[in-house]
Amino acid sequence: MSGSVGPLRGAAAIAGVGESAIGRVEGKSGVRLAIDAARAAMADAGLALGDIDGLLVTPVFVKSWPRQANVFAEFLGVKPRWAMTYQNSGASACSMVGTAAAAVHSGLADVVLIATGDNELTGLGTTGVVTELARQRDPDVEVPYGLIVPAGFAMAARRHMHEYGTTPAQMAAVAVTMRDHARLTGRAHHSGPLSVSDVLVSPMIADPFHRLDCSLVSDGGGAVIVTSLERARHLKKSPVPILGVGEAYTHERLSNAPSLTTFGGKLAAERAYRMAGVGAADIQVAGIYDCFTGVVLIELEDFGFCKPGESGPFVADGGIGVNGRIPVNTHGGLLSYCHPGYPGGIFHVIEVARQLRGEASGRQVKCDLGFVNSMGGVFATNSTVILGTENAL
Amino acid sequence: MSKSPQMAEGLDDPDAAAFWRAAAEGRLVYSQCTACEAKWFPLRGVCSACGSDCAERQSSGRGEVYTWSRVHRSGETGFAQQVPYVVGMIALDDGFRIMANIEPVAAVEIGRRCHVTFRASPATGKPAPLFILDEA
Repeated sequence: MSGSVGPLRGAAAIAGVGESAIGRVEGKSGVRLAIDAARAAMADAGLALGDIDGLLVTPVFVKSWPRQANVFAEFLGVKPRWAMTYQNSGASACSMVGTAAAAVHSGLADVVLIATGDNELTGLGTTGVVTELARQRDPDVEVPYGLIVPAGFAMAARRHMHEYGTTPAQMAAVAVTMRDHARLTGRAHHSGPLSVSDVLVSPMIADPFHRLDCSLVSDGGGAVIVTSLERARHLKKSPVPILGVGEAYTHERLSNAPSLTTFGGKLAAERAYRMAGVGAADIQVAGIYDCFTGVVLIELEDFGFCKPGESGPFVADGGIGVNGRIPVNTHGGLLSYCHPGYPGGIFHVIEVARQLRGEASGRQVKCDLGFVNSMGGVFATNSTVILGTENAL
Repeated sequence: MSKSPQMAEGLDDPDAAAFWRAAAEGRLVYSQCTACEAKWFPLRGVCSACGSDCAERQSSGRGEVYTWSRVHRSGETGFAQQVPYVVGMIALDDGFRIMANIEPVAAVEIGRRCHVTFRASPATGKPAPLFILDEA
């Protein structure tokens, strides 16, 4: 369907997904982790190197290369006719899926490989990552005041507590649910027992966030292959049609965010819902960017899964569990499954795709329609995709 | 990722230089559009609403705490010896928001009135705003 015109809805599909080893992975670079994931995704789709003609690759945080996508292409052994190094911070994953769909739809490429990997844990360590991320905040407006990223998100959580009476125990329930989900995968970075009180007694990092309200620092890579729906139908796995995409950008410095309790993610979700022709009530499984527990509460409201102010009781009541009203991050998310930095959001995409293909063994949700968001900066870059089965077309 | 420990690369940014010159004199400044009167922070030469020229204005330095976080672990940000410290947002009476440190750290709450002083930023070594809570 190269060069086709018309709506993007359902024009392209996810045809393959793959992951590298995740967690603490000794002796592998970010590029190598992305290559392992890419080869897994190609095997999943039944595609060979010669089939890949489009490439989207995130920068490696631990080791910055110029022309990252081209470095990756040479190592992997592909010669794409369209390639882009994609840096939209934490929002990169969903942004790349949307861009890949548009590239396929417009004829820039027939088969786009999205590949992302980083070795933040073994390459920088937790303190190193916190430090580097703090250094990358605004040098005049944020760095002089010691703004670590957890504190930025904590300020939003603080406002949510102030306006709605949200409690630390409710936020902790998000971490516990993510851990419960991670355990079901059998391969998560962290899968040990976790209770609300464990979260609340863990050391305070940036009040109200304790250590266990904060996502992991991991090594890992993920890859997704996007092609036309028509071509995907002739590949190995059931296609996962891309039904809607949406992005939103409202501020860079947190002090200029229009609100501290609702963000651009709401607009991004609304744009994606509109393209897909669905609403929040239709969504049956979700991947929600969970860099901190309190972030998930705000996002649940912004995406329409809860009314403003109701997310705290909703999560404490099991609303986002595998058997809850909207199962969220059934792989365990950034909080327990894997968070290597820029690649973190790809695991949400992969998990929702697996759910829609019926491959989420031990945690399978009955679903034809899934939602994924990714977010970067402090609610600064926002991207959403709506995925489905063929039944949702 | 090898980087110099110097954190304040942006201090030489021409757009920001006027702010830091004022801070060194103990003044908190912001921008106001000469046409539509919109207020902006950080400083900018062109209005982000209407595109007209902005002029520098001096803030009263008074406002209230909008939100905050008390940081207990800070990595190598220059603040490692300062923990616990509060980084927060202040809604200035002049009509803009700013991020800054707030003291005393044990007493910070949303809505508390505060006023600006200046002290050397532990991250940059240059005089930077510090907000002090008014007497309760």
